[in-house]
Order: sequence, then structure tokens, then C-alpha cells
Amino acid sequence: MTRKTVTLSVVGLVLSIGVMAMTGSAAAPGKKGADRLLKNVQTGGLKFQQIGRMSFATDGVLLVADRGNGSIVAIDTGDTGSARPLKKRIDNVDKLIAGALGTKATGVQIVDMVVNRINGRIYLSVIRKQDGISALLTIDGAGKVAAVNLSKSRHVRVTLPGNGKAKVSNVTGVKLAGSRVLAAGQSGREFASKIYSIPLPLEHGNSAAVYSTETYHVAHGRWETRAPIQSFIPIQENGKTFIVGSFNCTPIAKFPIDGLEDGAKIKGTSVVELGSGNRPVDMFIYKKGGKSWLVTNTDRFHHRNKNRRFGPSQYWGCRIDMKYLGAKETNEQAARRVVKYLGANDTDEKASRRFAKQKGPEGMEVLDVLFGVKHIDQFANDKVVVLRDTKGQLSLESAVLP
Amino acid sequence: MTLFPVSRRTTAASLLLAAVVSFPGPTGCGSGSRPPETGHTTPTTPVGPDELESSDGHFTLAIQPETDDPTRIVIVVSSVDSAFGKENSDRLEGLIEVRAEAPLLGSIERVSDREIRFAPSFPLLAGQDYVVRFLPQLGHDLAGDTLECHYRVPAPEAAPAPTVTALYPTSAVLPANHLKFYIVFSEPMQLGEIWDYFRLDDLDNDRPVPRPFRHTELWSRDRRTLTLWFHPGRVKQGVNLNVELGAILTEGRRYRLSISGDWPSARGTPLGTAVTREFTAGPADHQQPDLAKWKITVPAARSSSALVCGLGSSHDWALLHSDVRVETAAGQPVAGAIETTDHESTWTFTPQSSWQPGRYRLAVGSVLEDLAGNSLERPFEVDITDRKSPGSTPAGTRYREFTIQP
Repeated sequence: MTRKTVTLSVVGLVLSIGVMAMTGSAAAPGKKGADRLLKNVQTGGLKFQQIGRMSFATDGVLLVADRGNGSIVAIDTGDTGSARPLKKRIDNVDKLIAGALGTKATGVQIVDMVVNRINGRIYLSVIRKQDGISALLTIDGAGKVAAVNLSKSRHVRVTLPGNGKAKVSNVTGVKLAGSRVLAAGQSGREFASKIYSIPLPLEHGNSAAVYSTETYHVAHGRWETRAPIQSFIPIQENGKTFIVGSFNCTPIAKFPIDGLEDGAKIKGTSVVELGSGNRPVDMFIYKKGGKSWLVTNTDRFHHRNKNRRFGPSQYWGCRIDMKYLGAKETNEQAARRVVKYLGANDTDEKASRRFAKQKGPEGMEVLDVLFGVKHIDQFANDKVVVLRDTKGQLSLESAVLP
Repeated sequence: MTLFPVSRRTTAASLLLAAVVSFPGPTGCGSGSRPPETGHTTPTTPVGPDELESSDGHFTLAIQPETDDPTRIVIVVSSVDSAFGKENSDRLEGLIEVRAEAPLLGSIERVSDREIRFAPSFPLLAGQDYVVRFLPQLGHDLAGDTLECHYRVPAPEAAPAPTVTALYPTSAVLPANHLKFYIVFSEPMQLGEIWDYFRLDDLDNDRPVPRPFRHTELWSRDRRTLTLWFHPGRVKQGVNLNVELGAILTEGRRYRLSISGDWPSARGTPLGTAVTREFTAGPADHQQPDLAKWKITVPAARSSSALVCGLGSSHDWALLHSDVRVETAAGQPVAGAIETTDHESTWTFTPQSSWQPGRYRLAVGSVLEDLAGNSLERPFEVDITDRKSPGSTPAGTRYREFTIQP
């Protein structure tokens, strides 16, 4: 196997950064709609062992990770109708979903939430805890819950290879990136993480063309370790393709992925430090005020530690000026968000006030609108849908970013 | 299959009982003059030749469970006339509902002018009660009464509580930079938000260690083995969590890992009693495993004795099973059974057939790790500022030859 180490070249601070054009440029020629992205499409018989993270590609194709068996499923939802975004907030959405599955709110786990950018319909991957059943549900603009009928769905499944052994125990993210689909996989055995690249069109049952790279991280310019990626987005920067990814609990880092060979090793460049104990969950980019912003919401690791509280919720979100993604090779100077921990005796009200005062550095802003947000997805530039946790109550609502 | 309750005879006594006791519990099927409110109904005329049907003479509501799977049902409503002839598919919604906490998701279709069917999208839950209703007036012009049946999915037969059949590593001393545990259960466990079931206590200081675990569920495909990781961010030197909170384990201290007895299996039965494992933190381990230093005891030819490899220290239990094998010198795999003993510091291989004289080799994946995540390929952490520090080596398979003497 050829092994190649790629290091990051110096990138200027003035960058042309953008989300990967999701054109499916290498998709099947002569095909239309979802068939540009899919090959050897199966109809019916789709079952998830353990449904996971999701994202929309184009043409109503939904990419879904099957955590239980290390595979990626692309579903032709056929959901390309006119826009009907969520009209009003749905309170206790976990109870609503659980009821539709015949159980209580405590009996379901909402694994992920995404929005079909074509029409605003919301998709939820859900596990019913009692029997481990995976459900793919939708919520339309009127707040009505429905189930995607997997037994009739057009789909393809690609299993991520593991040197002949299926070692991928969890797929932590899957995204369309130009002419390929990228997936991040973690092992339940060795401490390793791989980014898998799957060329378009995605062909059912064909893993032969999938290649993988291992991701590493260097702390303080000294300690290099393997670094499992928890969530990521692909971006283009001066014509080159990168992924911006987060680990379980380290800075947000940027990885170059152009020209890699199978088995290559890529080192991430830390670009933003959100403070220890924060695990970024979702990421996307939007433009406003003449700037491009990276938005992420995080699951706070220290939330239950009374001496290290950071606001009343476990979840918060921020936006980061994309200029920070031009950082150079080491994370020594990674932009670090200002953090003032709250005292053990602070009330939620005090916490909220102090939380709102925490500013800086310039271009790294905590967003009030993302407070308590467990999941967020973009509908149209600054228009988003959020799944918000308010003291244990989950609501689904539309929001506009500042 | 059980309908709840059992008795379904149209007698004066039963009619009186139904009229007086106006709650759905003791009634299997019945009809009402208007759609009932959520969770409440007033059955009046329970009829039907068997327990899974209700009829008002015009419409008949029937529950049809699958023969071999009581969690799968189809609800059929039939009419004596062509009542559904004018109903297109879009208008059928809401005519039939199956409810536990709320109406279940499902699909409804018109089979003919006289029959419609509803199938829940997901299996019903074992041991749970459901109310099944036909609601003809709900936004429709159908003349008829609300029909209702109750259905209980049988609970699974009583079975022993799940158990933890193994917990690796088994050593009472773990390195201070220990990385992960494997917990093997007797049956699949309930998934999702499992972290409150785990706890690590510092026994010398009599306090819990705050948030030591990596919150990523990594299960084997049969959902019986969980890999429970210490948070790598607290093990890695220089990473923010390690810098700010310190390492999880301190050399010389005693700890107890606990798994709550409240954790239910996938079929809903809790473990019952907590499972604990006490250990002491030893010195941190930054040395890579070294295949060349393994002590190999070679069995005699034409015996079926085990090949025994002393590894020198405890290694990763799962990887010892998945990434160490025996091959002939030509690379043909030798079939046999793997065992680990001496706290995963001894690897043994018992062949299916007796050993033939010749040259063999151990084939070991470079991913094989010790307890601290140091692998044949690289140390868990590489100090890239230290030129003497061992760096990363190419991934692949490492070999160690041995010979079965004639």
C-alpha cells in the first residue's frame, strides 16, 4: 500500500472559501434527478441496523449512516416538491414523535435532524429504545409527522471497507462533496478514524472504489495522535478541497483531501478553539453582512460539573468568521473563544446574563438563537431549523441567523 | 395472541357490565355512537364471532395479527355495501387508528369499495396494550358507529435478567493512560444515551471521577459487546481536556468501574444488580508492543496442542481475536481457535487439525494495541519534536515465523 503524508501549505488570510458545490459533477452522465447520483438502485427491503447521522445531497437524495454495520445508504426520497417550510414551533416534539411510534418521550432517541433544502421538509432519524427499531420520520410545514416507507424506498447501500474486516462501528458523518461522498468512520477496537471517499454515482453493493485516509491531530506542535472525526463539512478554498472537522473534544481543524491516495495520512490544522469540553455537533456555512460564517452547535462536556458551568444548557452554538479557517499549520495560535466559567451557585438567570456578555475574539460570536440547540440544519442561507432543548423539553422551530 | 380482555359474548350481563363500567379496559371490541376522546371510549354493543372483531351490522372492524409475529398486525374494516366506493386514498386518512400513547404511524389503503386496510409502519411493542378504532364520522360522510377493539401484544416469556458475561481487560492493574474496556453482555442491550449507567470512582479519595468516558456508542454488530472508552481528550498529552482537567487515572490510586443494574436489555429486563470492577492504576505505558519479543512455545508435530505466545504484557482483547492469526509460510491461513489468558498477556491458538511439520508464521495486524493504545504501528502519542521518539511505521501486517519440527 502506498502511504503518503500530506502537509498543509501556507494559505493566505484572504481566502475564497465556500461550501463544496453540491453539483454531483462526476455523477452518471445522461441521467436525471436522483439517478445522476445513484447506480444499481434497489427498490424496497431497506432496513437499518442502527440509523445514524444524515445529510441531504441533491435531487432529494438523502444520505444516511447505518451505524450498526458501517454502511452508507442513499435514499431517493422523491421529495422534490414545492417549498413548505415549518410554519410554527412544535413544542414537545419528542413526545409527538414518540407517540407516533407508540411509546413515551423517554422511549425514543432522536439521533439526527436535517432539512430538505428543496422544500423545507424535516427528516429525523430516530431509535425506539425498547426494541432498537430504527425509524426515518418526516415533519412537514404544518407539523405533521410521517414515516418514510423504507419497504418501498429506492436506495443504494455502500459498506465502508475495513481491510477485509468490517471494523467500522460508527459512522459519525456523511456528506456530499462535489464529485464524491465523504464519510467519517470510527472503530470500536483500534483507536483510529478514517475519512472514506466514495465516488459518484454511488453504486449499490460496490465498495471497491472506496478509499480511506486516516486523520491525525497535533497538540501544541508536539503530540501527534490519531484523531477520530466527530462531525465535518467539506469546503473549497482557492480551488482546493478541505474538510473542516471536529473531534470528540479538541479544536475544530481543517484537513486537505485533494490528491490523496488510499491509506494516506492527513494531519489537521487547528483553526478554532471553542474551549475544552465542547463537542461540535452540526456545521454549515452561511453568508451575511459581507462575510462568510461557519456555524456550529456544541454539546458541552462539562455541563454537569457545577464548578465549570457554562450557561444553563448543555447545548450552545456560535458563528465563526471564515477568515479563521486560513490558519497555518500549527494550532499554537488557533483562535480561542473567550470562556468565563460560571460559579457553582449561579442561577440559570445569572448564567444567561453572563453567557450573553462573553464576547470575543472578534469574529467568534455566541449566538443566542442557538442556545439549547441539540441539532441544527440549514434550509436556505440564514434560515435554519433547530431542535432545541429547554430544560429537557424538546422543540422544533425555524430560526433566522443574525 | 391475546385480546384484552378475553370474554366476548353478547349477553345481557355483558351489556350491563359494559354500560356501567364505561372504560376501555375490560372490553375487547365494541361500537359507539361518536368518536371517543383520546384514551377514553364508551363501548355499548360488543359483538363479534371472535375476539378480534367488532361490528355494528354495517361495518366490521377486525384485527389480523401475523401468525408468527404478534407485533405485526393489519386492521381491516369491511362494509356490507360499497361504502368506500367514493373514498379516494387521500380521504382515507384518519378512518382507522391504532393508538397507544397517541395514534400510530401507518398506511391505509382502499382494497375495494367494501374494504379498507391499515397497517402500522412499525412493529408493536411487546407487552403493550393498543386501542384500535374505526372512526367513520371523522370528516367523512360514512353512516356508522365508532367501532373499537383492544389488543395486547403478548409480553415475551419470562427469561433471566441479562448479565455481563465478561469485562476486559481482566487485569487488576491498568496503566494510568489506559484507554478502553470491552463489556460483553449475554444479550443485546438497550441503546441510546447509555452514559448515566456508567460510573468511575476514585476509591482512595472516595469520590467519583468526573466525566471520564467518551460519549460515542461503539457496539459490536450483534449489539452484545460495547467498547467503553475513557475520553481520549483526557488521556492525550497537551490536549485541552488533559491540560485543564488532568488525566483520568493517577498512578497508585485504586478505582472502581460500575455498571448500573438499572440498564435494561433490548427486551426491557434490567441487569438487576450493578456490575463492578476494581483496579489499581499502574505506571503509564508509552512503549509499543514488540512482536519480536513474544515468547512462542511451539507444539510438537502431529499434535493438536496449542501454540502459546507470551506477549509480555496485557494487550487489547478484541484485537487479539481479530488481528492475530496463524498462516503457513506461503500465507495460507490455518484454521483454529483463539484464546487469551493471563489477563490477555498470553495468546493461544489451537488448530482444528493436527500440526504438520513445516514453516509457519504469525500474521499480526499493525493495529494491534496494548491497553494504552500503543500499537505495532505507532505509539499512542508521537512526540514530533523528539527525533529519538519512535514515529509512525507503515500500516499492514507484521510477521513472526516459527517452525514445527518433524
